[in-house]
Amino acid sequence: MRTLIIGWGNPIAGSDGLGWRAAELVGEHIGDRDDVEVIATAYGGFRVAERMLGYDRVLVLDAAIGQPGDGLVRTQIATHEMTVLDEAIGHDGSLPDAIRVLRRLRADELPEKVVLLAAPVPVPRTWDDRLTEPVEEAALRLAQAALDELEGIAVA
Amino acid sequence: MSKTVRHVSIDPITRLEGHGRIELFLDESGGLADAFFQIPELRGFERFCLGRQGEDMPQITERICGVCPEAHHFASTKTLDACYAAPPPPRAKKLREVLYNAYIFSDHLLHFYYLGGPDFLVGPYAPPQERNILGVIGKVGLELGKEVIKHRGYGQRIIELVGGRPIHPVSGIPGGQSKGITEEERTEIETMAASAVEFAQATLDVFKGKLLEDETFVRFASQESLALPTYYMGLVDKKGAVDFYDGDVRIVAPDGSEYAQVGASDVLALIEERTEPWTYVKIPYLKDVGWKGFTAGPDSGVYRVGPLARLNACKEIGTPLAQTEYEVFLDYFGGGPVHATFAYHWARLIEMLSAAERTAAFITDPTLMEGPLRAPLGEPGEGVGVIEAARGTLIHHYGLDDRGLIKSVNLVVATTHNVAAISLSIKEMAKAVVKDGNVDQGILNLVEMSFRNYDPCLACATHALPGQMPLIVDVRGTDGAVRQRIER
Repeated sequence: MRTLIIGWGNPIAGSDGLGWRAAELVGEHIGDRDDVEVIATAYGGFRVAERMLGYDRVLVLDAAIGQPGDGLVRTQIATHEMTVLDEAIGHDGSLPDAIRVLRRLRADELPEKVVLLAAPVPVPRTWDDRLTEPVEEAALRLAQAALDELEGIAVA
Repeated sequence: MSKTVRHVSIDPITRLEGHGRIELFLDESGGLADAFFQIPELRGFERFCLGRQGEDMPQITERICGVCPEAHHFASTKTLDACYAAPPPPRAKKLREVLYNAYIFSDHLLHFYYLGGPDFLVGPYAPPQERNILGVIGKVGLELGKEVIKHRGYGQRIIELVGGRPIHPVSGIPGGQSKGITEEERTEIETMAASAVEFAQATLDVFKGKLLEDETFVRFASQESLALPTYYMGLVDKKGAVDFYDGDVRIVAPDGSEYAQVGASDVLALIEERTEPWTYVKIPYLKDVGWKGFTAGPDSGVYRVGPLARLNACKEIGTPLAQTEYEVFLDYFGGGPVHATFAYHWARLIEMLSAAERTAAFITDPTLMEGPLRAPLGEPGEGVGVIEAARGTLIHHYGLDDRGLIKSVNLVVATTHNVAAISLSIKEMAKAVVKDGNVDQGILNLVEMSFRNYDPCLACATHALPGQMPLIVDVRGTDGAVRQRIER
């Protein structure tokens, strides 16, 4: 089983860099594993979804709007059941939109499930490449949650 | 605000990068009094860059935006070339051209099928849940839809092979490129580029077969009140042909006469940046023509950038298949410059074909595989880099101290150039469609379509959950209270 872990966020937009940082932590922890690829990206929805093609399972590590102490968000999206399609999206499209498009066009290459793990953080208001201490701690918790999720994946 | 004015707010706007807001002010009769395009955004990017290593800028600036990192990466790299007086060797320049034209192809493809196309291929009055890429697939067919995904993948693959990483290119360095490509990679790109040329032609056939037959598109493209006779800016090569990566900045007047043609280092002397109290974004205009308010015409310094502007600013396209399409385009509108804002969609597809042709040409250039990849660097100093992002002219301007650290930064991005024109386009469309205070979903989408022409990118690239931007429209009475709220 091939797993892709995507740290999604902008490392120069303050707390939005949380997912990116969490992916770095996961990558440092798991070392070289042939069955797991870890990437971090600030790309928009379609490019991120296109990166999922060919994997069996995907974990997306992201930031949620809230406060660092609010607890993690976990959403397991079965891509064959996805029904959300909201037009109110950014320039590049939302991730659910993009996944649904790929499901229509390249279903055989999409992972069966996409697990979205997110830690709540304040909405960034300015550019900053540093995480505050509470956000750094949230990144650690998010990375741990990703590793816990990973252990539940059967390694081929 | 006058007590006789009602207030309609569209916030945030859908299908554009970042966060935008449209303000529509209605008068007592329910007609349009005025319209403004606001950008309440993350600010302070230039300050964020101060004191950093200049050579880090191509990696920093490409994260301004989740959609067009390649444009910032190479605008930044070109600026550093200038700062270090180190123009890249021919091989490095051609490698950059391969990657950059693949980006233009891929980005324009995205806009037509995913963002702008739904308005016409599905219809501006179609329910929002149908007016999207899946609706487009329903119209053009599943097989073409699969080709869209395949060629998006080709664009990303070329960027990966030349850019050094599957995400966020790293190959651009001051004075050249950090890596070349292998013969195996070159062959792979050649195959993909040839396919991209065919796909771009097929997409133009879709456009001509469907949009030029579409009553709404034809009406909007020909409606005089929706045309803006502005100045136009774009990069051109020595022959005056469109050049996405390099060349002189050429500006033409609304009558098509040449207003200016200057090298990159002189472009900032032509424009002035204006601030308004109601938006964070600066509003550039042509300094010597002057700011006359939000108005078009030869006496107004308002100018436009992007696909339509490039086709108006050039003397030719520069590639054979796209040149033929350009001539069809000019014939349709009775010659240039073309002021119809909805012609941006057509211009974008002609450029998409040209970009595919350029990728195919550069990848077969025999000098691509040999020669130095980097020029020796001079002493750090000041430099300007200009490139054509998919949505318009992108200017980076840095000053480096003697240690190579950033001491000054200014970025003038494509959407910034277009802000005044976007406001004008929104206003003209709203004037045409808002009557008797009636503001429903269909009318709102028509207003949004007027700025989607420009493919505006208000980059912030924040992906915080829920990962999408709801659209809320408040219609306020003259007392300021909300009378109607539309959400989707």
